[in-house]
Amino acid sequence: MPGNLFTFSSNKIFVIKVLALCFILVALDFTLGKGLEKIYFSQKSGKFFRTRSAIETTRADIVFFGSSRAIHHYDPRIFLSLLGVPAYNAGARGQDIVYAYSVLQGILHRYTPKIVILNLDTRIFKKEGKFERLSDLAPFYRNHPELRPIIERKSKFERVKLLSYLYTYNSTILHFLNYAIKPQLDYDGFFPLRSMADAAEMDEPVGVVPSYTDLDAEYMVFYENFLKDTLNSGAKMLIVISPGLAAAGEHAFINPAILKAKDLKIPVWDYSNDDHFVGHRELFADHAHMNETGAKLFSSLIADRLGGEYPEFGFKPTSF
Amino acid sequence: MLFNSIEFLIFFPLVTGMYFLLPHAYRWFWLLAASCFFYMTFIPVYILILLITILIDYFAAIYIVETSGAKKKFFLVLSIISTCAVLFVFKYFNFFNDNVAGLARFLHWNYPIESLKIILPIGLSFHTFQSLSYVIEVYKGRQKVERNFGIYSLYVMFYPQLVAGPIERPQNLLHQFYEKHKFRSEDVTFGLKLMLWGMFKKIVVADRLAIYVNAVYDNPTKHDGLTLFLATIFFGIQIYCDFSGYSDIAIGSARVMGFKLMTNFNRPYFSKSIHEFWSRWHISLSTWFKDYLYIPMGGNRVTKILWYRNLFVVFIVSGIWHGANWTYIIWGALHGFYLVFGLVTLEIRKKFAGLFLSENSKILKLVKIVVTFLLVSFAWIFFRARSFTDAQVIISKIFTHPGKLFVDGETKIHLFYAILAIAMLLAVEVKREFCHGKITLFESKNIYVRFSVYAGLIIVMLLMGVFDAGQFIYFQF
Repeated sequence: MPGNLFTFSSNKIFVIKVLALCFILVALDFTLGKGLEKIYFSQKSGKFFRTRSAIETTRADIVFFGSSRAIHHYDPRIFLSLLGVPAYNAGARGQDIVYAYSVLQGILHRYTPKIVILNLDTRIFKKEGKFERLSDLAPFYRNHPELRPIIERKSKFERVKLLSYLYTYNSTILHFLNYAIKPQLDYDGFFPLRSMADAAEMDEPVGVVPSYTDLDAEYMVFYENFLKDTLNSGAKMLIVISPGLAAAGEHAFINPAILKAKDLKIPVWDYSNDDHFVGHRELFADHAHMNETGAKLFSSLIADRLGGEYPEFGFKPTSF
Repeated sequence: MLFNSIEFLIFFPLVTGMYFLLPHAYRWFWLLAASCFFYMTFIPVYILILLITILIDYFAAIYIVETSGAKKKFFLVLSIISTCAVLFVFKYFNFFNDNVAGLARFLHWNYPIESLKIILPIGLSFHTFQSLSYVIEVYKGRQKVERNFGIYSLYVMFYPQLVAGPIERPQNLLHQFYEKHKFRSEDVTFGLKLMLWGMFKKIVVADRLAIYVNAVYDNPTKHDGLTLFLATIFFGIQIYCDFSGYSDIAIGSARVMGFKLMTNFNRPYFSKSIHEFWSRWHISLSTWFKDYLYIPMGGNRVTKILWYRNLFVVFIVSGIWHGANWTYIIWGALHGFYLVFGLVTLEIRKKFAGLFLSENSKILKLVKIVVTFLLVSFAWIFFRARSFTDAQVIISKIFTHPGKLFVDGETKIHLFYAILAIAMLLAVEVKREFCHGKITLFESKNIYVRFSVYAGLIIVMLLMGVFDAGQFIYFQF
């Protein structure tokens, strides 16, 4: 007989139990999720704190974007001391142009920095795990409508998944514990590395800029939008290619990302073959990342050039 | 459509709900339509390949029962060859062709045949074997021929076990499509609990471990032996949780509708020998090989040498079944070697162990479990490595260059999640293996305990799961 689902009372009890369990789950999801939200937004150090600072609190005039090669290479303290202008480093380890674009939207939604500096490298166009790391932005989904369309790119049903408060804070608990036990201090987003590269790292190429076929088309759109949105906001846009331990080679100059920037009349400062850095192990923590000494030297170099080339901001040239 | 996707979360209750609402006479058709849809969410046109296999074996079985003697055998052989030919073209042709081309190059011969540019249909080896088992059973007279083409198609295509098993036998599954399944809360609860546990194994354990394993195995030359060893151990746990997790969801989702599929895993890493391991790992495949290859070759009722040969052949074929690559063949051969070596040295090992420990000693059992796990893990290196050269590098580094463990900032946190996930898995598996009935969680009579366990598991999944709908490893086979 069709429709005999509820013929027996035991089945009715079963359905009541299922509904009760669903209710308990929704209640737990909400209460525990709210607790995690409180913890997340009260972080004082670590990557969540840095993301929140970039999206919600910083009002710096100079903002740096990029991957780990941005976060470890630009020291805002140097820019403040040499130029008298507050700066913030919104670079993030393992992150890409989509994350940078999202954070930029959060910033432009609140204010317009004087200059946006994007550290260009292959990592921001990485193809593996495309959109996966957007989970770092999930906690901002509810309160930042400007980020929603980007976060929803993570998966087809991301909007549905993010109805769960607990899912929003997926894979955050151990980070909270880690940062509580061992705070990951930064200086206006800058996270210095304090080791020195092994000699074996000398020959590792950074792969600063790959050939055209290596750049993901979807990521190129985000990159182009990043540049255009910055220009449209009235902020200046600058692209910097920071150095690696080994020279990048001439391919750096034929990169479509550089050409795209040049099309939009955006200056590109290429330090990938700079003699101050290439081959100087004492300035690097590994083949791709400068240590604190290298970052200070590099930041001074950039600050000095900024002072010289952007006098309209009141940047004072220094004597590097 | 993957079991660990939102699509399945919509598909499953919809199909199950409709199944119970429909009159019994229409249910098989509904399940067949749902199974076709399920399969077509991968590569729609590939359903035609499945249709070819179904047609061949459906008619072959009918001709087998309607003929006798040499003709009967002819139709069996024809069915086996035709079904395997489909498998060969899609799964093995390129491997075969590459090797022949390599040999031709070595001998400076001209070999013009190019590789095929095709994608392997998902689960091809699984439904091929399920289909073959039907024809063989009909030939042996152990299974009545199925004349309803729709029911036979459903036997091959039943969506819970269509793409990664368990590889069912007609005696267990076919008759269930004729039975009227009532909505039984016991079946639904049992099925949902199994699905929940399977999902935990997949998204909390397997997919978390995959992050570390992939990072290391994709660049073996950049890592030290200690890291490669840890990644190998992790892969052993990953593949177990991935595959047994899939099986749990398959068995669970079938059970909700009242279907009973065969057990596919029985906590294999608690095995005390390789022989026991294979009676607890991918049981539906092991028994398939036993019934349709090992026993027809003579099994153990032959001379010792032939017995060892039979074992070795079965495991080589098992390796080939898993994939068209030399690494899989070596993996199978290694297991064959383990088994033969275990048999040859059984008496010596018993005597040696008896010098130190009694046969029932718990320490001896633990040692056997650990040794078996390490042997299985060693073989997994060939299974996971991208190439034979990579496997060589990994083995060489593990044994000669332990070095440092790869743990940078983010990796350290992934490692902690992985260890936490393994600890939870181990706690449940140890309880089920060694404390049967002493502590009850899922099966507790106390509703508060049960609900706490369900809610706890779902919360852990939401907080610690990896939600990128990662592919199941065994789909590729």
